[in-house]
Amino acid sequence: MQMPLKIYLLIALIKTVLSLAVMASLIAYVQLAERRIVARMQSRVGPTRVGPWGLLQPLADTFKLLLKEDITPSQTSSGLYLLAPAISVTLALLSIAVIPFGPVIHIFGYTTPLQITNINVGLLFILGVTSLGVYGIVLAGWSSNSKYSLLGSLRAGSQMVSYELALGLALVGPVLLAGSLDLRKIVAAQAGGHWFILPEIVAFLIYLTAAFAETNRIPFDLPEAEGELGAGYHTEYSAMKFALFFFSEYANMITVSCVATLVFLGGWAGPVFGPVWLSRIVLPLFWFCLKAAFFLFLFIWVRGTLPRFRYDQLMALGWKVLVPVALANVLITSLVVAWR
Amino acid sequence: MNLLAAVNPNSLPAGAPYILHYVPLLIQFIFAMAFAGLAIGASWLLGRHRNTRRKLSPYECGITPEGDARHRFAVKFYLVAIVFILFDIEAVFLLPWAVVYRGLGWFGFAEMAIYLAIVMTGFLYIWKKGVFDWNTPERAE
Amino acid sequence: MLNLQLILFLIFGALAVAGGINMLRSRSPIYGALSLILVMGALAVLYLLLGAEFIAFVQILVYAGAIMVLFVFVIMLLNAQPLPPHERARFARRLGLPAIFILLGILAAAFALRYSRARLAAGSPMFHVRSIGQALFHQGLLPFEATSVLFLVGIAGAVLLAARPETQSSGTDTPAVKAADRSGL
Repeated sequence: MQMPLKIYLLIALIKTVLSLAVMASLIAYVQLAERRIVARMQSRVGPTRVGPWGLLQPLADTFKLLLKEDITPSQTSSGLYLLAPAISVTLALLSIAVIPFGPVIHIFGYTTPLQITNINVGLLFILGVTSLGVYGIVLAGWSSNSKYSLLGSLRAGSQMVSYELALGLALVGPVLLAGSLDLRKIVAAQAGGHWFILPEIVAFLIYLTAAFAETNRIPFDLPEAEGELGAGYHTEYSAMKFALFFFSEYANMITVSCVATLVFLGGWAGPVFGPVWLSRIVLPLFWFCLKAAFFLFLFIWVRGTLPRFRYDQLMALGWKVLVPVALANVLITSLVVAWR
Repeated sequence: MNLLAAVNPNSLPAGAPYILHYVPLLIQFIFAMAFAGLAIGASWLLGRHRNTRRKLSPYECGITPEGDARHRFAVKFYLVAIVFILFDIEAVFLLPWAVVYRGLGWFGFAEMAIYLAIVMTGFLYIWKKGVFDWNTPERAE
Repeated sequence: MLNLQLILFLIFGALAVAGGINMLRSRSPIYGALSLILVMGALAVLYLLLGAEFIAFVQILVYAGAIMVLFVFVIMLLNAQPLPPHERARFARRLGLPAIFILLGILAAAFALRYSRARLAAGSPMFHVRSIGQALFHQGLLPFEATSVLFLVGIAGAVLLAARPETQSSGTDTPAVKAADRSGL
C-alpha cells in the first residue's frame, strides 16, 4: 500500500527519535556490560552498587559527566576544540540510519522497513561516513595544542586511514557475491543459510581486524595508549565533551558490528515460526540483535584478553598483511564467481 | 522509476522521486547534530567553572609545559596519507566493478587482473622503499 | 516535489559557495582546509540531488575522506601558520572580482543556450551503480586501465618527493623531528 508523504515523513521522524534513544541507551549499557565482563575476566566484580546488579550505573555516570567542570584549556583553538567532539558524534550516529535491522513490515495498514531509510548504495554510504570519522579525532588532537593530544591524533589518523583501506577491500568480496551495494540486497543474497562468512572467511577476518582498528579498540588502541600518551587525542577534554568521544567510539562499535552481521552473517536470518508478528518482526529482530551482540561481546572479550600492538607492528600488519591479502581475496573470489 | 520502487522497500507515494529516500537521512543528520550540541551545551551550563591559570594549562605529566605542542612531525605520516589516497581510489574502482562483475564474466576478471597487476607493482615498490617500515629512522636508499 | 529538491539544491549550493569564499578568505590554513571539506560535502549533496548517488558518496570517500585528510595532515605536519596580509591582495581583489562575474556570466549563458528550460525543470533521473559500472568497464576500458599507470606515476612521485628532503637535510632537522623519527612515534 502506498502512503501519503506526510505519513512517510512522520514515520521517518519517529524512527529517527526511536533509533537515537535506542542507540543512547544501548551505548550506555554496552559500556556497563564491558565493565562487568572485563571485571569478571580479571577476577573483579565491577560496578554493582548503583541499582540492582549496577544497572543504574550508566545513568549515574551520565549525570556525573554532565555535572563535571567543563574545562577549555587556554592554549586551545576554541572553535575547533568544540567542533571536534560534535563531528565525532554526529558521524557516529549518522551511519546507523541506513542499517536495516529486519525485514519490511506491515503495520497499521502501512508498509515500512525496519530501518530509517534504505538507499541503493548503503554500504558505500557507511564507508564514506567512516572515512570522515578521522576528522573528529585529528581536529581534537590539533585544536587541543597539547603534545599528548597531537601525537595521539596523528597516530590515530594514520592508523584509521591505513585500516580503512583494508576494511573497504574486505567488503569487495561479499559485494562480488551479492552484486549490489544495497544492504538489503546483500542480506537477500545470503537467503537460505548461504551466509557469506563461509566463502568469505578471509574477508571476514580482515574486516573484523580492520573494524577493531577503525574503532580504536584494544589491541589497536594506540591513539590512547595510556602508558605513553596520557589519554591520547582526548587528553585535554573533560565533562560531556570527553564523554562524546567515548559515546562515538561505542556507536562506531555498534555500527561495525551491525555491518558485520549484515554482510557476513546473513542479517536477520534465522529460524522463525509462529504467527506473523512473531515470525516477521520479533524473531528476525531477535536474530539480528543476537548476532550483533555477539560481535559486541567479541570487542569486550578481546579487550580483556589481548595486549596492545606496537605502532610499527600495527602499520606493518595493516599494509603488509591485510591489504595484500584482501586484494588476493578479491581476485580469488572473482575467479570463483567467473568460474560458476 | 518503477524498478526503483520495487527494489526499495521504503514504499513511497507512487511516482515520488528517489531523492525522498534521503530525507530521513537529512533528519537523522539534523538530530545527531542537535544531540551533540545539546550534550555539550548542557554540560557547559550545568558544570561549575572555577578556572585557575594552572588548571587551564596543557597537560604535561605534572611538569610545567614547555614550548608549543605544534611542531613538525615525521614525514612518514604524510607518506602514509598519500599512499592511502592512491589505494583508496583503487578501492573505489573495485566497488562498481564488483557490482557489475557477473555481467562482465572473464572479460571483467582479465580487466581487473591487469589493473591490479600494474597497481601492485607500485605497491611492491613502496614496500621495498620502506614506506611501511615504521621503525627505521631513515629509509634505506 | 521538485520544490523540495530545488530548495535543498539552493541551500547546499549556497553552502558550497560560502565554503569556497571562506577558504579563499581565511588566513589560517586549517580553517581553509575545513572550508574546502565543507565545499566537498556540499558538492556531494548537489551530486545526490542531481541523481548521481554513486558519485556523491565517492566524492565524500575520496575527496573529503582521503584527499582532504592529506591536506589536514600536511598542515599539521608542517605546523603551517596563518598567513600575514599579502601585499598584492588589493590588486588581486580589484582584478579578481570582475573576472568572477564575467566567468559566471559565460557559464550562465552557456547553460541557457544549451539546455531548454523544460529540460532543466524536468530534473534528472537516478543513475545506478550498475550503469556506471557498465559504462566504466565496457566503453571506458582504456581510460580505466590508464589510471593504473597514473597510479604508478603518483606512487613514484610521492616516494621521490617525500624521500628527498629527508636525505638532504637530515643534519639540519630540528631536534624535535629527529626525536620523533627515532621513536617512530
